[in-house]
Amino acid sequence: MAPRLTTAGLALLGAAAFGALATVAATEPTSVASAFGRSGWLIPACLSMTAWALLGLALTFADALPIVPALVLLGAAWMVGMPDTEPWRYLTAVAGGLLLATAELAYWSLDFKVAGRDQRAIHIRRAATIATLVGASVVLALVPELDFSPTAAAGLEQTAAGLLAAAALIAVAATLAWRLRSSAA
Amino acid sequence: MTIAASPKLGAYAALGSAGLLVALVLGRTEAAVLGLPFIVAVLVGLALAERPELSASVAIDRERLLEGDDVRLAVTITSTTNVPWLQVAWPVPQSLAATGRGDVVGVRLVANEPATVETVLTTKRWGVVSLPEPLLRAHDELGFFRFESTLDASHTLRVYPRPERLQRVFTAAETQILSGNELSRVRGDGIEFADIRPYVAGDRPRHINWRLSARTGQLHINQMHPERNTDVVVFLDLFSDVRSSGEGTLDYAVRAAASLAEHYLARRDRVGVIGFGGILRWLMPGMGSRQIYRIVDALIDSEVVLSYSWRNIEVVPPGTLPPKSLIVALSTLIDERTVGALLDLHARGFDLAVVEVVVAELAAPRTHEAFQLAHRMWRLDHEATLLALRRLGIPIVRWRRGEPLQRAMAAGQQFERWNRWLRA
Repeated sequence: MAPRLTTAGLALLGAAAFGALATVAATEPTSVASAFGRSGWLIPACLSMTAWALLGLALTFADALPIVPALVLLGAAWMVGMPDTEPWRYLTAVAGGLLLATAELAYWSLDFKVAGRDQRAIHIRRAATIATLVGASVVLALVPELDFSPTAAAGLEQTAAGLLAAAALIAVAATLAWRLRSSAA
Repeated sequence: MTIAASPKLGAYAALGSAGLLVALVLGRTEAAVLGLPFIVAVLVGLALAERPELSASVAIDRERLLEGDDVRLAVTITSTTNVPWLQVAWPVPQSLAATGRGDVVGVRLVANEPATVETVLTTKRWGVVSLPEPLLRAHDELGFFRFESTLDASHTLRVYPRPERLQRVFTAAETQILSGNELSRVRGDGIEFADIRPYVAGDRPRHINWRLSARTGQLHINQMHPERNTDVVVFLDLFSDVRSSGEGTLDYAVRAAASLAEHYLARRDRVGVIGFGGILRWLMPGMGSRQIYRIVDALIDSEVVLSYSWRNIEVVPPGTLPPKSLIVALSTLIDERTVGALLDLHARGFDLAVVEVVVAELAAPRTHEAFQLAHRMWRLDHEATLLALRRLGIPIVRWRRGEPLQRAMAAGQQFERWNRWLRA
C-alpha cells in the first residue's frame, strides 16, 4: 500500500480509537459528561466524530489546516469524557501519547503529498522515531499524574510555578530554534 | 539553501501551550498531560533538527539520443551531517517522460558518505531539451523543517527525430553531374540499357552490339543511361503547427524531413534544407554522412515563430536552391505564404513535390453549429487549394497521423509517373 494511504489510515484509526475511548469513559458516572444526564456520553462521541471528519478532510485533500481543530476536539472530548477516578486519570498520559501518535501519522501522511520512490529504511527509521517519541512522552506525562492530588487547586504558587515552567519551555524552544537559524547564516 | 518550518511545528507549539493554559485556567492537570507530548515533540524536534550541508553533482549518460531513447540521470550527493530523508526531484520537461515509479527519489544520507540517486527519463519528442536543475529537499528527523535547494548543474539533451526507413521516395526529374543512384535520362556511360544507334567514328568498341552488327552487316553500338546523383531540397513549412494532445504537425514534418534526408543522402544525393517560416532557416545542399548530422542538428532547432510579415521565395539565398533540384515540401498547406512560395517555386521550373501533413484529424470541429460551419468552410477552402496545386501538375501526397510515411511516398510514385507523362 502506498505510504500516504497507510499513514493516513493509521492516523484515522488512532483518532477513532481515541474517540471511542473518550466515549466509553464518558459512560462512567464521575465524568463531566455524566452531569448532562444519561445521554452525556453523546457529547464526547459527537466531538470525536467531528474531529474524525475534520481529520479525514485534511488527509483527503492533503491540507494541514483542519488537523489542529481535529486534535483540539479530540482533546476536548477526552476532557469532557474522562471520569474522576484513579485508573482513568493514569490513562490520560496514554491518551496524550495516542493523540501525539495520531498527529504524527497525519502530518507524516501529508509529507507524502509528492509521491516518490523512497528507501525503505527512511520509513522504518521515521516510524521508530515516532514510537520512541510517543513512548517517552507517555512516560513523561505520567510524572504529573503520579503526583496528582484531586484537592490541588489553582493556587497562586501553583500558577506562578506553571508560568515559570511555561517561560522556561519557551526559552528552551527559542534557543533551539535560534541554533538552527544561526547555522543557516 | 532555504529553510521552511512545517505547519506541524506551529500546531504542536499551539496545542502544547493550549494544554498548559487550560490546565492553569481550569485547574485540571489532564489538559497539561494531554498537551505535554506535543511540547516534548517540539523540544526533541528542535534539538534534533540540523541544517544539512550538501554537495552534489549531476551526470547524464549521454547528451545525444533519438526519440524514444532513455537517458539516465545520476545525482551524487554528500552531506557533512546525517540527513534522515532527502528527496531528489527532477522537474520533467514536456518533451520527456519519467519512467518507472516517478521522478522523485527519497534517500537517507549518512554523514560524509556519498549516495547516488538515479532516474531514467524517456524522450518523447525531438528537440533541444534543457534539463531543469534537480531540486533537493531535506527533512529533519521529525519533519518539523524542510531544507530546499536546487543543484546548479545544467545539461542539454539533443534529441534527434527517429528516422523512418523508406523504400521509395520522390525521384528528381533531372539529375546532376556527379555519379549516384538515380538513373539519368541522358545517354552516356552506365549499366542501364537505353538505345541502339549506328556506329560513328570515335565510339568505343566495347559498346558495339556485335549480335545486331553481325545480323545487319553494319556496326551498331549500345547506348546506356548513366547513374547520376540529384539535388534535393527539403522545404519545411514553419509558418504553422497544429497541435493536439501534445502532438503537432511540426513534429511529424521534422520526422519526415529527417527520414527523407537520410534516404536521399544514402543514395549519394546532395540534400539541403529550408525552414520557411517567421524565421528563415537554411542549410546548403551537401552530401555525405556529415551532412545528415548537419541536417538533423538544424531540424531539431525548428520552431514556429509567429509572424504576420509576408514572405516569398525571394528571401531564400540563391545557392540554397540549385538549378534542376527536386524540392520536397513538407507542409500543412494552411498558410497562404507557404502556398504562395510553392507556387512561385513551381513557376520557376523547380521539380516540386508536396507532402501534406494532414491537420483534419488534429483540428476536429467543436459541437457548436457555428464551429462546424466554419470547419466545413475551411475544409472547402483547403480542398480548393489542393486542387489548384494539382491542376498545375504538382504531386501532392497526404500524410495522416499514425500512417507510415512510406505509404504516403508509395502513393506519390503514381503522381510522379503521371506528371512525367504530362511533361513528355
